[in-house]
This record gives sequence, structure tokens and C-alpha cells, in this order.
Amino acid sequence: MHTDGYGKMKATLSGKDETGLNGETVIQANGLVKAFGDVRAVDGVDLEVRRGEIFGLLGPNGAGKTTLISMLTTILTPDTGSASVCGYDIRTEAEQVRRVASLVPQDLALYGGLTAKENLDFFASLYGLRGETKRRRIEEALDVAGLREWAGRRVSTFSGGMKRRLNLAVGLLNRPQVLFLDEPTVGVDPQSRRHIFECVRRLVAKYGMTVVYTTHYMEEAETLCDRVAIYDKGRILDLDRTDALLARHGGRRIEVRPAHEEDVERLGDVLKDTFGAEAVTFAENRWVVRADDPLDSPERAIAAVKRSGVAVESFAVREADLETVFLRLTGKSLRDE
Amino acid sequence: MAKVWHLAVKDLRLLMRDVPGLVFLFITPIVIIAVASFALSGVFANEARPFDLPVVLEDDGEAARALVDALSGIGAFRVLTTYEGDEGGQAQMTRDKAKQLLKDTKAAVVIPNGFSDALAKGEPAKLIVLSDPSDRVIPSVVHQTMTQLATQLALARSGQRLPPVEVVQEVPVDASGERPTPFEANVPGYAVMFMLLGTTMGAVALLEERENGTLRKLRTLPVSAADILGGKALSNFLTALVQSAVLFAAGRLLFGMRLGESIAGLILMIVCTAFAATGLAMLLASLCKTRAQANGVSILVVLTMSALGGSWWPLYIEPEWMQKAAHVTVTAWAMDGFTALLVYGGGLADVWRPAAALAAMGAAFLAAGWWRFSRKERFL
Repeated sequence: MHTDGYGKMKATLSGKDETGLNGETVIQANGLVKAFGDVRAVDGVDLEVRRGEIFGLLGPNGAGKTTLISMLTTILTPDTGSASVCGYDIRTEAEQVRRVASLVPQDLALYGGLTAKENLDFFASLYGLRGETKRRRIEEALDVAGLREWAGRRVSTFSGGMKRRLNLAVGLLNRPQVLFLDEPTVGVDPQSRRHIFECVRRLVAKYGMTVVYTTHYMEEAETLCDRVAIYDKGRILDLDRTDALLARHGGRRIEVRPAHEEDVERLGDVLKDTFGAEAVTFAENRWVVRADDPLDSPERAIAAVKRSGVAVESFAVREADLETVFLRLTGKSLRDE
Repeated sequence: MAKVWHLAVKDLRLLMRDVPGLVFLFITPIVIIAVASFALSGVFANEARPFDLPVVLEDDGEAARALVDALSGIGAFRVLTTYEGDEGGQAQMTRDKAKQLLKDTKAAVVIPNGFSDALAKGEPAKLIVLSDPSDRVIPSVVHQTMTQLATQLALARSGQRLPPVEVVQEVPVDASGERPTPFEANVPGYAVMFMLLGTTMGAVALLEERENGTLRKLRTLPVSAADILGGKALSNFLTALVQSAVLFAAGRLLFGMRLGESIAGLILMIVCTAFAATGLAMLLASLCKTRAQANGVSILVVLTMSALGGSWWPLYIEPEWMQKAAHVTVTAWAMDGFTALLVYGGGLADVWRPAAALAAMGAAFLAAGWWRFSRKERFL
């Protein structure tokens, strides 16, 4: 893998690598740009996704992940740059792209007044499915989603988790070669989330499907994805397997939560004096410190807290994870306020 | 085309489960039509500007001329004893010409031959007021005026009470021999208004798809923007057709409304009006950004069209300039056609012009709406 400077990373792998994946490229993007007024939601993205992999796009809300996915699924047209999905150009062969790829959108795209089965029947018809093939695909989709028992009920009566599962089932009707999952577990209960993860793994194993999975939850990216692209402000900052990213950017982090809101600033000042401003960031009511030295940093943090005289609600030392990687690459938390 | 059909069927299925929507489409207009028709049966005429009043002078005696002079002296009427003939010159008003003019003038007077002689001999005399079948007010006013003038004329001549002059009201009837009722005017008027309101529900449904994310999902499927708009337009169109059929059937079965002499003409008018209403709804959907916006704009447009175009009252009571302006609306053209069929007993030949105008409007609206919608990123 080689880098082209900060902001653009190209992963070019051929043949099988240590992940065991076939090297065939199913998604290729070069210099994709999309701006809305002054805001460049996608700012020069190069990307290659290989057949059969679960590719994660990890970034906070507003990073531009959905815009990137929208271009690859032909909803939006890039301002500049090019991309292809399964060899079909997203600009000139949009209809073919739509036949081989499928999007499970972040917003639930279901008709509440129709039953689960009627929703599946409608979308299957638009894919051109007919007769016995259509019937079988609908049954399969209901099984995958675990919704066979509720097939005849109107979607407006479903829980959020059930709707998410049906949303996923709709995306599988055409047995796509590439499945784009845009934040599929937002607002979902843990049981439904586990169900979605199992579905994704089974689809890849059974059909060799390629999955592009966008999320702002690092646990999902770590658990599910073969490779993860760290994405922020329209750019891929780094891209690799999780273990490689951790090895490159990992390290512990220290999290300190003050007991009183009025002490936040004072505590922050002390921590910045101790570790340097670039190593300290504030997210979700806690100060997060990059612990470059795993042995010395926690002690220095404790000393700094004592020096500040601030009462602390919690003090934690966390092992390296993608949250740390994101913090080191962007200077902020994945869930920054 | 199959995809368009599936898209339309999905929308119709949703509509069938929308109970408030169904009540609005079918029950509300029937109730409104019944109340308005009974309430407005005695509507007054506008006396602010003079009405053209054709007068057929079949008698050239002194009493007849004196009657015409007296009528001309009344500011409310502009007496027409002649009309512009085919060869350019002025021709004497005849009964046939007066009947032709009834659609615009609503009433005409015939002074039959022998009127002056009868008065001179002290015998009963007769005057005839020809009445337009769609209007009750103007003919009544003319009838009362003629009765008064004739009595004054008779008294002035003899100074004593002479045998009365009988003023007879005559309404030309069509081939069926039946006389129109208020429902022939009101049912189409309100049907057009509620058809317009109903199709705008379809416009709102398109924006609802945008707001709830299903439109974005549809754009990732092998379905074109034309398919999506076509499906929405088709479901709207079919809904408007069924709605009209139900309202006209209700008018016939519940209120005894006549369906005119030409069922083909009636079907043509219903189809063309539904087409124009559908096009308008799609255009409004493409112009609005939110459902709330679409609701507000639609109601405003529909109610304005209805008031201006003759859904609520006859077009002729509006000023001349407004009657002309009204023909930018779907309502005015629709009412022209339905009135020709149901009130005047016309046929297919009498409605080709309004049908063509409605078809052209529908096509133009759909084209404009498609142009807006096809700029997909803006619409998404």
C-alpha cells in the first residue's frame, strides 16, 4: 500500500493477500469530488474494493459517507472524478450499476401502509422479477430478515428493529453483487443489531457478496469489516485491515470525566499543559488524552488531575481501538460534540 | 410500462386504506353538492350592468313599438331588436336567433304578431319570455318587468282596466323534452373542484416519498425518473376517473341529474378533465419542496380556479374581462364542456374545443412537471 500525501490513500492489492480475499476489484473510484455550495462533501476520494470483502467506511456524522455512497449507487452525479461498480461506469452505465448493486439506505425506505410482503413484492416487481422467481426471492428475504411470521402485517405496526431488518431484506431481493449498507443499525436494539451482523456474514459466505458498510460505530467496523477506511470531511485518511491500522496509529487513550460541569475548562487547561494541546480533545463530556507512553502517561494524567484540584467522576485507560486511530488522525473523537 | 403499472397499483392500494382520504374523495363532494344546489336555487342576478335582451318584434303596431321604447328606457337592459347578419348588414331579430343567443343573454322577449291589434280591440294579448334552462333569476326579472310594462301600457291607453296581458315564460327543451335542473350545473362544477383537490393529494404523495426516503431508494433501482412520475400520474389519473364516475352516478341516482344526450361526449370531457387535473398536480409537486407547501399551494390554486372558472356560480355573472381570464383555468374549460352537454343537450361536436384545450393543458403541465422532476438532484 502506498500513500499520496495526507488526504488521499490508494490501496492497490492484487491477488490474494493475508485476508484471503480474491484480488478482483468490484468498486474502483478515482478522484471523486462532490460539493454542495462551499461544502466539499467528497473531496478527492480514491478507492478500490475487492470481491467478497466487507469494506468499512468509518467516520462521524456529517463526514460525507452517505454522499460517497450516493455517488456509487448513481443517486448523485460526481462533480469530477470517475468510478465503476462491477465494471460499469456510474455516469454512463447507471442502469447496469443499479442491477448489480443495491443500497440499504440510512433512512427507512418502506411504505408503512403496505404489509411486509407487499413492500417486498413491490420492490421485487421493480427489479423485473416475476412469477416463481419473485415468490422465492420474497420468501428468502423474509427468512433472512427473520420476518416470516409478520409478513402479512402492515409495516407501520413494526418496531424500529423490525423495520431495519425489512429495509435490509428489500436490499437483497435482486441478489446484488455489491451491497451498500448505509448506517444499517441506527436506532436499533442489540438483538436486531446482532441479527443484521449475522445476515451480512451469511450473505458474504453464501453468495460471495461484496459489502460496503458505513458506520460511525467503531465496534461495528472492528467486528465486521475486513478492511476499514477512516473517513472524515470528505477524505479517506487511512485504509487498511483493523490490526494494521491499530499498529500504525494505535495506542492507549486516557479518558477523564469531571464531576462538575464548571470544572471542565480548568481540567482541560491542566491536561493540555501536561500533554500538549494536540494530544487532548473533548468529546461526550469527557477529556480524551492520547497516551503515547503506555506506562508514563497514566501517571502523568493522575498527577495533572490532582494538581488541578478538580473532582473527577471517572478516570479510565482504554486499549487501542479504532476510536484511538480516528483521534490520532483527526484530533477529534468519532462522536465529537 | 409494467413498472409504471406496478408503481400505480402500489399507490392505489395505499389510497384504498386511507379512510379519511376516501371520505374526502367521495362523501364530502356529494354532501356539498346537495347543500349548495338546494341553497342556491334562488340565487340573485347582478343588476349592476345592463343585460343584453334580444327582442323579437313580430308585430309592427304602435303598442308593440311603445312597449319596446319603454323597455329601452330601463337602464338594466340593452334591447337588441337586430343582430349582425351573415352578410355583414343588420338583420331583424328572429325567434331562432334569440334562442341561439339564450346561452349568453339568458332571456329574450317575443312580441307576437297581433299584439297591438288585440290591445286596440280590448282583447287579451300575449307576450312571450324565452328563458335559458340554466338560469332562474334573469328570466324571472324579465318576466316581472314585461308584466309591469304591459299593464302600464294598457292602462295608459285606455285609462281603465283592460283585459290583462299574459306574459308566458317559455324554456326551450332538448330532444328528451326534459328541462334542466340545478344539478346539471352544480354536479359538474363541484366534481371538477373535488377532482382537482383529489389529484393534488397525489402531488402531496410524491413529496411524501421524497420526505420519507422511498424516492431516494427508488432512484437506486433500475427505474427511470419517467417511470416514477408516470406511475404517480397514472394512479392520480385513475383515481380522478373513478371519483368522477362515482360523483356523476350519485348525481343521477340520488338527485335525478340528467346525463345529457351524448354519453361519449361526457366520457370525453371526464377523461380530458382528469388528464388536465393530473398534469396540474404533477407540476405543483415538482414546484414544491415539502408536503406542507404542496398542500397550501394546491388548495389555493384549486379554490381560485373554482371560483374564477365557474364551479361555484355561472361564469356569465362575472365581468367580461374575468370571463376571458377564467379560460386560463382547467375549471372554465371543463365547465364549458359539461354545460354544453348537460344543460344545453349538446353532443360530441359541441365539446371538441374544451376537450382539446384540456388535453393541451394536461400535456403542457406534465411536460413542465417532468422537466422539473428530471433535474433529479434538485428534486431529491
